[in-house]
Amino acid sequence: MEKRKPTLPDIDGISEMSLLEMNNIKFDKRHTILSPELLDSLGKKTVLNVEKEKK
Amino acid sequence: MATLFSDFLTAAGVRHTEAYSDKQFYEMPFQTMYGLSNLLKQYGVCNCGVKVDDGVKQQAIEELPKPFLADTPYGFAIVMNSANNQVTYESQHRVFTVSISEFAAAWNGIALVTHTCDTSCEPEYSKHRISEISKKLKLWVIYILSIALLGYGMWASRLYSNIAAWLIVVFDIAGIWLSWMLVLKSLGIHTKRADAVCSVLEKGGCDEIAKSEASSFMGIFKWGEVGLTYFSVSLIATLLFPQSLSALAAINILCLPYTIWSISYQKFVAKTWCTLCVCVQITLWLLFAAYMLGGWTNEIFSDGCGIIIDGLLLVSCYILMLFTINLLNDRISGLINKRG
Repeated sequence: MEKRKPTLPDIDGISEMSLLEMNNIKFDKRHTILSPELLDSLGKKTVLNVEKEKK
Repeated sequence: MATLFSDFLTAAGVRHTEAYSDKQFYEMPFQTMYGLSNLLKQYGVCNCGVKVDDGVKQQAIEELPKPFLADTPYGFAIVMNSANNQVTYESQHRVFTVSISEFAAAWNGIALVTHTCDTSCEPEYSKHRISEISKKLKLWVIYILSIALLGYGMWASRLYSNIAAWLIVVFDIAGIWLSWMLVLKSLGIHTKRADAVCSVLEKGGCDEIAKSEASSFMGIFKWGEVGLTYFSVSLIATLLFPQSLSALAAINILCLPYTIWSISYQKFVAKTWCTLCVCVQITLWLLFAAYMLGGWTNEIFSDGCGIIIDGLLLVSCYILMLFTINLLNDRISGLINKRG
């Protein structure tokens, strides 16, 4: 098995996660279909949360 | 049923078998991104988890090697391609294309990035592949033998020259298929064919009805199970005991009021159309027409005691089949819930 890591683009703002951080990303057992409509509402929620934090 | 893991392996072009890969996915000791990372390494797929800041998400989507897994509050999406400000991704075996900005807004910036090489492959792939092929061969043998037995049944019962009998057989088979799709829906198992049929009248209608209280008889037997029982016993009885056709016609007539209830419920109570359910109702009426065409509805009252005995035997077969299917369904449902 090759031990090469994937080549990450040279962009400031991309950092590798530790194994502990990766282990904190749990799988949701009831996966929902991420339709474009759901993505749109998720995106709007994120914008609202960011605005709340700024306030 | 394909999982996120086997879908990802397909997207990445890694040789694998669905059965083995899905089993490994369900049995991962860590049901987390870390567990998935380890599993991918067993397949020779090097990978690492990354965090992307909000300001560079769009750029990251364009430049990260694909496919990669993007995390969202509602689960992972497999990002397959990006071009012309659009991103193509797969979620629950369905492929969508949206604008990069829309995807970036929903994405939390966490991704599992991978690198495959020529040696990336499922461990003991050849052995699993042979097992997969033999499973498919078994299915083909079942199909061929079923058709052969069907043909023999029609010949032995001397019904092969009767068009109405052929129609009854065809409608029963259609009813079995439709009821089987309904049973799968009730178990929460999605198939492409069922989803395609279900979206004809109303998208998601079948799923909504399947979850409602009206989807089961007395809260014990799912209507899909009842349908599967009815059509399969009717088919076997038609082929093996053609003398019971008038009793089958009588039972069919007794089922017709159910079709009116079902359509009324969908229209006025649930206000949602279940395409599979509507197709089953249509099949029941088509069967009625076939029984009329064959003259068996006329024989109902002229058969005397014979029809009562045939009717009782048929009802016993229905009950036996229904209880068996119901028990099997409970077992399967239990196994599915265990897997989560």
